[in-house]
Amino acid sequence: MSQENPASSQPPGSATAASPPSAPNDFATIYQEHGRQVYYVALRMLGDPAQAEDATHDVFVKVYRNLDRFRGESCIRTWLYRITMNHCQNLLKSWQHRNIHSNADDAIWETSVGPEESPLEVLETQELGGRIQKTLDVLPVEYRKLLLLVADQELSYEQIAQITEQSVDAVRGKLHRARKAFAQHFRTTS
Amino acid sequence: MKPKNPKSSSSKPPSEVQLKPDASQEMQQVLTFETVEELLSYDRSETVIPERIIRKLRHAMPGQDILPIKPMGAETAWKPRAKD
Repeated sequence: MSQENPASSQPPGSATAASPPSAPNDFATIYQEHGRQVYYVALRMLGDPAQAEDATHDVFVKVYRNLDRFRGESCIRTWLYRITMNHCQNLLKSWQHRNIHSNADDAIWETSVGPEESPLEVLETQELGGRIQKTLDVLPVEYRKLLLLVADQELSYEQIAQITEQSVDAVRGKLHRARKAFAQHFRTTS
Repeated sequence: MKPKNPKSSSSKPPSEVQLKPDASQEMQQVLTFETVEELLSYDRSETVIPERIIRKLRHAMPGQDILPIKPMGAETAWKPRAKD
């Protein structure tokens, strides 16, 4: 199991009292309802099914260990995403991931102009996941995180801002550029 | 909003149907996604969750009755986010 700063997996406001009655405390149900989101984010963040499998296991072990401190002040899904994102980001850092983007690289993406409004057409093959992964791999980690979060329509922009620790305006601005960059690169993978 | 030609288990041909080798191209569907979010949401719904995760979690937490992850049904298919 990989190591992570314990503070990153602490539930918001977890320093005090026990869980209120409304806090979800059925671990099995949490896994059943949110396991797909956690695995998918880990898969697309890390780009490797075996690593994503290990990461999903590690995230849920952390959840299990900290569940009694979850006070229900935030949505459980928000809390899970925060743990997952922190865990994956720590793994990426520890691997000194092969695609390190400098600020200069980010600037290229932010000024790039892509046909973001036109539909994305995909000839259905088993390669779809591979094309998505290739596209995400070349985007800055920040864009990757935001796109994976916004793909979960149960998350509001406020919740995405909370998970990624920035303002809602910053989330909106970066998402605009992230969508453009994704669409532009995705078309080159066909 | 769903892709215009969504892949679903119901739309897949039965496994016993044999396709001619040269028919595969014609049988391919073109999916159209209006947004990146919609594409990623579809990708998530199609992603297979390894059974091994459950086995490892059950091993780590013997007392927990961990069941397989629920498949994403039509009710969880992509719909545009409400403006917030």
